[in-house]
Amino acid sequence: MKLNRRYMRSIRENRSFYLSSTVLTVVTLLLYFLFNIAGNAILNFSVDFYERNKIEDAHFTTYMEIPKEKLSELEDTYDVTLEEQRYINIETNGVTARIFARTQNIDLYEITQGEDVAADDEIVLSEGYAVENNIEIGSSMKIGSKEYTVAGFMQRPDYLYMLESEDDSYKNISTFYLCYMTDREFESFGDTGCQYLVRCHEDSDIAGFRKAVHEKYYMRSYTAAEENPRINMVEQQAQMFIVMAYVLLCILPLIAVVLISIIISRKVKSEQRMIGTLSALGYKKGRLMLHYAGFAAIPGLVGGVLTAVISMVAAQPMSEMGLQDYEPMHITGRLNPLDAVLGIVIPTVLYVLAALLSVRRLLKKDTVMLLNGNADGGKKRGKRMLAGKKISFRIKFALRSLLGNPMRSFVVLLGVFLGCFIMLLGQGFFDSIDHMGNTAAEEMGSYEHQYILNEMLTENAYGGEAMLISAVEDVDGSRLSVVGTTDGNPYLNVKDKDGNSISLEEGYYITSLVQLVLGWQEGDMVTVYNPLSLEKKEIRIAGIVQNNVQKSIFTSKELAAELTGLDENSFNCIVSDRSLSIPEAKIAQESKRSDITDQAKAMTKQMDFLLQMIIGLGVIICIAAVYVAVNMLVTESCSNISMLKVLGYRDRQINKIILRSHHILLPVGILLSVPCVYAAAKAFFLLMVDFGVMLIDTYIEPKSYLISILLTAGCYFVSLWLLRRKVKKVDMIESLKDNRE
Amino acid sequence: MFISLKNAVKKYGSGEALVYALDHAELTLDEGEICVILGPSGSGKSTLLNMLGGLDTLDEGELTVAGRKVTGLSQERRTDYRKEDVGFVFQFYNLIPDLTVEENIEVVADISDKPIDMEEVLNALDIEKYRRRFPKELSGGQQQRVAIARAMIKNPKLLLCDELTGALDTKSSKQVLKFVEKMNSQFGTTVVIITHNEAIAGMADRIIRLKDGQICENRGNEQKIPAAELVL
Repeated sequence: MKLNRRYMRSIRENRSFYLSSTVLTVVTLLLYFLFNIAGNAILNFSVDFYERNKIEDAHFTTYMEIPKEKLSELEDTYDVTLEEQRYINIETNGVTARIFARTQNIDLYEITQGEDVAADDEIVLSEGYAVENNIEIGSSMKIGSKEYTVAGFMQRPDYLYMLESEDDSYKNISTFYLCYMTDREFESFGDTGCQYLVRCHEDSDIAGFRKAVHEKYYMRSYTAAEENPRINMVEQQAQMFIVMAYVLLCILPLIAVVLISIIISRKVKSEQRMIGTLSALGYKKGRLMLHYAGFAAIPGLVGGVLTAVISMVAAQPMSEMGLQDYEPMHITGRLNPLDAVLGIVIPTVLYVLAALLSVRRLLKKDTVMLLNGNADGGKKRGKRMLAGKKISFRIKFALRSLLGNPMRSFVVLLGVFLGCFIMLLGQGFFDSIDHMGNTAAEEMGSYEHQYILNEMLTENAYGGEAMLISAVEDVDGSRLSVVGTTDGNPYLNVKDKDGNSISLEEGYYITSLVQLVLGWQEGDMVTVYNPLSLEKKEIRIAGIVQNNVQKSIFTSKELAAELTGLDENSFNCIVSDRSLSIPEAKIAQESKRSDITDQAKAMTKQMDFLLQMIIGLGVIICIAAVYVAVNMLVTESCSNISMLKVLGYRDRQINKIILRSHHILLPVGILLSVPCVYAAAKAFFLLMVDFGVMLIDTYIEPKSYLISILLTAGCYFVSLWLLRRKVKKVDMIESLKDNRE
Repeated sequence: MFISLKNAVKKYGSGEALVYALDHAELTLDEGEICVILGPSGSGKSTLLNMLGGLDTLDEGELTVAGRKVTGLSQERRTDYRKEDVGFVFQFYNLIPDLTVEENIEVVADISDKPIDMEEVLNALDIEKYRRRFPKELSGGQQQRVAIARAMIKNPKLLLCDELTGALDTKSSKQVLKFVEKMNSQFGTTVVIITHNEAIAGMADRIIRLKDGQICENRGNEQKIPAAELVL
């Protein structure tokens, strides 16, 4: 069709629109694509790696060793795979090596670099530690009193997040590593620790298995893979990216596509004289629709293809970016071809649809009206506003321009909103996690030190406040800690959501996190199980303690003892505001309140690059969104601008009249974005709770508000500044000619 | 001499497509005259009007209006010239659709140093009763009167009318021309009317004819007749 020669000419004439709408399409889609690619890359890797190396479904320890022949008996009876895992921790110069004996069926290790051990003086060690400490293959390492040669690096599926203890809150790859050596060399260590690894099958009777083990061998500890942070942190990380991509970042392409679609539809409307002329010349509806669909398809097609290309290039580095906390996972970030196609098709279809609907609507009008350019002359709300009132025409013009063209104002508002939303959201994530470090520490209590003892004591000779700590499981195996203490414990902040103190003597109080995760409510009768014996207990929930950090039941010592079967006169935990002199041998685990703050700080440090990326892209989105919106405003005001020029108005005065009227949309857009950011961040953090993450309250620092507002305002005024040229370029004579036509 | 145009040249295009819109045109006009410029399409009428109004610049030649040398003025100074000295009336009125009659006039009054009283202009053009209406709510003739009022509110020295009756019926055309005539006599404004319509030349003090960018006729009108008596 000869008419299609207009395409290239139109692109040349409207290059700023095509450029900014393409950039907007690319950047918003890109954020979604990259997070989705990164999340799926981690998830795919972990699924393959776990399957390949037969990850455990649980591990446990017993007070009595299970004889080897009984292991296979248990396997047959309960249809599980069971394997003994022997290990020993050896500390050398402040660094702990956890040496494992090889297993055959569960938690196999995989050589990631170099070779497996072939001689008794060779070892393979965890790759994260080797990379962190610049250890090379072939170098020597001392374990205990003996020197070993590093033959290679390895990874183990249940240690992708390298926690020395499952109760630790943050990885340790500076003073802790895993190690394998020959069986003979391992045996030379003599007495070693022992735990049992379990893999379930389709028909496994895991509850019966656990009960049987407890009855015969006395279960000491049992940790399901879902409760094991060394394992579930990987999925949490992957899901964080995927949730971010799907739930939050999907908003951006959606808004951007709506914004561009509205502009396209208005651009088509501005072509009504041309459409009327072509219609009068005999062009049929289908042909005209096809012609205008071509215009609209350009930003969608170009944007979609560019997004796919950039995603392919950036997929790998972006995927690796979120893995700084983990063992070096050799993941492959890959763009899903279906996503690439959808990224091209969806915006293109929506843009084309907007154009088609617009052409269709215009073609329903009288051709003469189209030729006169009056086809969209419907009654505009707000047009008559203040007519006859003794107010400056500038104010009336501004108000009518704003309110009489609601869709145009909406587009400008949407542009500002979109820009501020993405920048504030990025900073909101960062601030919330940072803030969580402080609030979580406060919610946990005012103690500075917590000592979990490896035996039950009856007399507290060390100071601090003694507590009874144990755990129960819900019907699905989700573990809850049980904290038995007194109302007078000065270190715990046990308060309801209104800040009122709670008396623990009155019953079992669940934390608000448990309420959220398990859906238990005050007054509910719930069933819990002893995690070791699986003994069943029914308890009534007496109330909710405001605590979004811990999955816990708070109660009195007596009730805790009744629930867990421990002695009510004994204790196994001490909290204190100062360091206590408890013998090392009695301490199973020591933690500081500041650990959680440090963990949050480490997380925000890791997020720094992500934040910078989101803000950087946010600036581009903001400029592009505001630019396309204000560009439309200037284009649609061309005849007014030229008339004002003819009448003797200067460019600066014209800018004030035409553009300044929309400045009010800047604070409105920013204000609107604030609750939306809170809603989006809350939705994100709530979804992350499903993946075992504590509930993080959305918090935005005043500094972040300021930065976001300044950046959004900056982008807005930069866009206006760029468009001042366009106002200057409006040709008086051409515009008058247009009016003559 | 109120208007003096000497050796005016305006070219468009280049090479084989080069067109002389004004080809060494010469023109003088006295203050307070009504001048009608006639000529076929493409003769250079609109280009001449654009030059007189400071909307465009000459490639060669010199233009002086009311003692102000328009050629060589910077864009800002040309804006001042339009603001202070020139009123425009166009064939399709070019009113701002989002503003009422009164507000459209106010747009010009707002930047004028000594605007005429609004009521005086509204009454003179008999549009007082439409003051709160929007352009789309008026007939073509009424809109054109608003356009004249908008041009006149600043009491310009020069009123430029580009095919001001081109979109109007005979009755409305005559009425509009009467108002132009009235403005000329009431405020002493020099009026330049560009038109295809030979009949309008009857109300002119001076008749100029353009052909191929050149002024082929420039004469005083000995038999000037009032606009009300024109046979359009």
